[in-house]
Amino acid sequence: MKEVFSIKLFLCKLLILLHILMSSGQTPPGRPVITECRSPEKETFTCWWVPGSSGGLTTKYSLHYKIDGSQENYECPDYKTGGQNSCYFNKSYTSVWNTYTITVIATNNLGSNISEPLYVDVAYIVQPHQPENITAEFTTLDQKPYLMVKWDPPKKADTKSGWMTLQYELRIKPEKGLIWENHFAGNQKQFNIYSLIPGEVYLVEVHCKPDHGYWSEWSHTTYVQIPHYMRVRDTSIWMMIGILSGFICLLLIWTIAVKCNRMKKYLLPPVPVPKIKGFDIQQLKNKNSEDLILALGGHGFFPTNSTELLIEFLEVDDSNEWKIMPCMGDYNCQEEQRNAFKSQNDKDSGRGSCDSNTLLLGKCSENKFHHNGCENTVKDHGKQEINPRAEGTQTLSFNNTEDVTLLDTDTIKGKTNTWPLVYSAVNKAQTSQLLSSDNKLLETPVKNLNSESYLITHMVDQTEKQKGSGDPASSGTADQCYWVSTDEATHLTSSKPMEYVEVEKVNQQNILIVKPKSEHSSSIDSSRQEYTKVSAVVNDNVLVLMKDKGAQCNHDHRELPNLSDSHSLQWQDGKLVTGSSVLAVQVSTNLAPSGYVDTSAFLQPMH
Amino acid sequence: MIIFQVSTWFFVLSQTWGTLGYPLECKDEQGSSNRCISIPLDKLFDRVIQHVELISRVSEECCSLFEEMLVPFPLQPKTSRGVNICITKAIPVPGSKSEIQQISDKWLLHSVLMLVQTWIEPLTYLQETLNRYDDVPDALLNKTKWVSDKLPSLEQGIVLLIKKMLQEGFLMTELQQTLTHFNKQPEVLESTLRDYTLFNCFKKDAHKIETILKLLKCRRNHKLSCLLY
Repeated sequence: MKEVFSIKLFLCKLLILLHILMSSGQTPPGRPVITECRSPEKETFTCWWVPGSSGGLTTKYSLHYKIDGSQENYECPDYKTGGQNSCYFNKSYTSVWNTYTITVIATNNLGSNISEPLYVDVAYIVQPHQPENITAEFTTLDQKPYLMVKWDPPKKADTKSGWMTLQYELRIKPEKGLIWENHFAGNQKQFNIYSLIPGEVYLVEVHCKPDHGYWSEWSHTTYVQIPHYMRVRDTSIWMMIGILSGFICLLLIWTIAVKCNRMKKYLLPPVPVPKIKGFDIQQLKNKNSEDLILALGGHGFFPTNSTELLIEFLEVDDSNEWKIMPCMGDYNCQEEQRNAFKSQNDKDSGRGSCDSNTLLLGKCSENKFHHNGCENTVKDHGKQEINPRAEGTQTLSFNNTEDVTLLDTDTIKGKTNTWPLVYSAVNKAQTSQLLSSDNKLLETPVKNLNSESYLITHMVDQTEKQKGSGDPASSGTADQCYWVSTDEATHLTSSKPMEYVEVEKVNQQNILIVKPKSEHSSSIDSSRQEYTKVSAVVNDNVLVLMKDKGAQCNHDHRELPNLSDSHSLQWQDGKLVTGSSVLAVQVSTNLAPSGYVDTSAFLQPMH
Repeated sequence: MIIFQVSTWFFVLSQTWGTLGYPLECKDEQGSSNRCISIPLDKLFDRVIQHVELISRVSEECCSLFEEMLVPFPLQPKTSRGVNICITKAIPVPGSKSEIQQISDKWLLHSVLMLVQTWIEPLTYLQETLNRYDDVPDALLNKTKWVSDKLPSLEQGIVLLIKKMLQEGFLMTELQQTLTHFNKQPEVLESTLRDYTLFNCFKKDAHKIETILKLLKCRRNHKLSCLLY
């Protein structure tokens, strides 16, 4: 019984002991780990370890070392200087270029544990302290600003004797910047930093490293304020901007000066001026009022009575081709031509053309023969194929509001041209005289009436030419309409060039016999025939032409409209005289070789 | 034995011959052949130190390369790392700054010279043995070759330094002791371990030479120059 009781008691004690043991968790210590050994100046060094699990009991740590393979074990001389879990080797215990084998042993009641050995050569575990006494100074050298940073080596590192050589590195960044800018400084203890932003605050830090070892910690931050200075880059940029803007200004000024007029026109466009048909502003400017009036209507006064007006329509050609001025003899045709071509912009200008129905002579083939001296005309004559009417014709018209209309309306290309119906072959010389005397008359208003406006009267032998049905003109009665037509041209077409008629003679019956001379005489549109009615022949040498109702005569040239006494032209010995108003025209007795009479001037009503 | 003695003698003679072979610098005294220009002492110091720095850096790289090469190998080299004795142990160089500063210039210079001269042959040997390894990186081979080529020039520089600083001729003392040490090594150690030890020891000695020379420079000549560092 007692043995059982003792055994039970023993077992109970064991159990209790085990229980106590189990509840506390005590075990032998865990393995410590030596983290690092460092020497700040290659003369002393310190080792640190990290203890393993303590095992629940107080654990004692001890460091042991061997030198260079000798089996003698030494223990750490100083556990305190280095702090907790450290071992400090002072100068006497440190030998450089000897390999230390360091181990740490952890011991507690239950056991001990040894760490891995660490082989240490002091020469290669050097990690110096931070550099000290860092100064950053802003200076300028030759107007180049820079930051001069100076520092001192750590106090303990003996660089003066050459025992240690340190290499430095500094870093800098603006206060608000994020990235450090590193600069390796080598062995020197100062460094210059360029390219700084004026007005900024910079942070500077330095650290060092021995030739074989570890980098130190970064030093304390030094703040430096950069004063405001003018960077060369800023200066140069402003200079460039200034020069460029000055250059641009000069260029603008020069452009404006050169293109002054054009600029004015662009900015201040000219006010459109009303344009009147048959009105030449240039002529207005150049000539006086009298010429203006003449140009307008050829009258020296304003017509008061419209019925009395003998308004004649003139076709004036303003094309270059028709710059035919009668250049005869000493007449300066070139000049005249040039004058005639002063302005050609007026699209309303009538143009005497070869194409016109009116037998306005002068231009076409006429020029070939007569204007030798006028090269231009000869040259232009070659361009006859171009319809001068295409350029527009300006019709000088003074309306005859009476029933007698001398108009032959012709529309070509949408333009209405009126052709005078009264034609007569005029001596060229006379024409020239006419023109010269009334040069302005013809020239100015129309501006392009530079050609000889010949009034060709188709004289038809009464017995001969008679196309169609209409009777030819008969002499005598004023009521009759004398039709004058050439031999060939029985009908006049508007598109055809003008026909030239040569006055041969005046026959006994006082009929002007006219011969066609035009080369271009061809089929002439009957609808556009233009005739001058000879109302009567007076005094053996006066051909009374009548301004007939244009319509009647035009549409049917064969008709013989009644003569109207009031408006008639009379032929007087080289003169063509109007019935109501006699236009005294001085015509030289000598007919021109061609025998043409320009009756355009005769059509001017004169009261 | 006889062969050994002969070889040793031959080696010594060759070393002597080598030292004799160095052209004597122009004599500083007035006399003949003073037309030649000699390098000033501080510049000579700088050049020698730069040379040693470079050699030390390369030797460090060689060591690390060799360790990387040995990683797949068993860990034996590392465990017995501290056990190995460097061949130049016979040349006593104190391990503390204070002690070294107490040593005279002459002795320091001679120690350095001995160190350099000792390492010329082992490096040549290393250069050859590396080829026996299977996967030797070319960088290691090149660097080892480079170092072995540069050592003789370093030796020349130190000799010049000695002449200039100490106005002495060449020395041929203590050469025999170092050689004997070296010859004993190959039998003891395993080849790989031996190579590893050689690399490590050379690295240390290079650093020693560098430090000593720098100390000498700052102590002896133009002390102000060392204030900049």
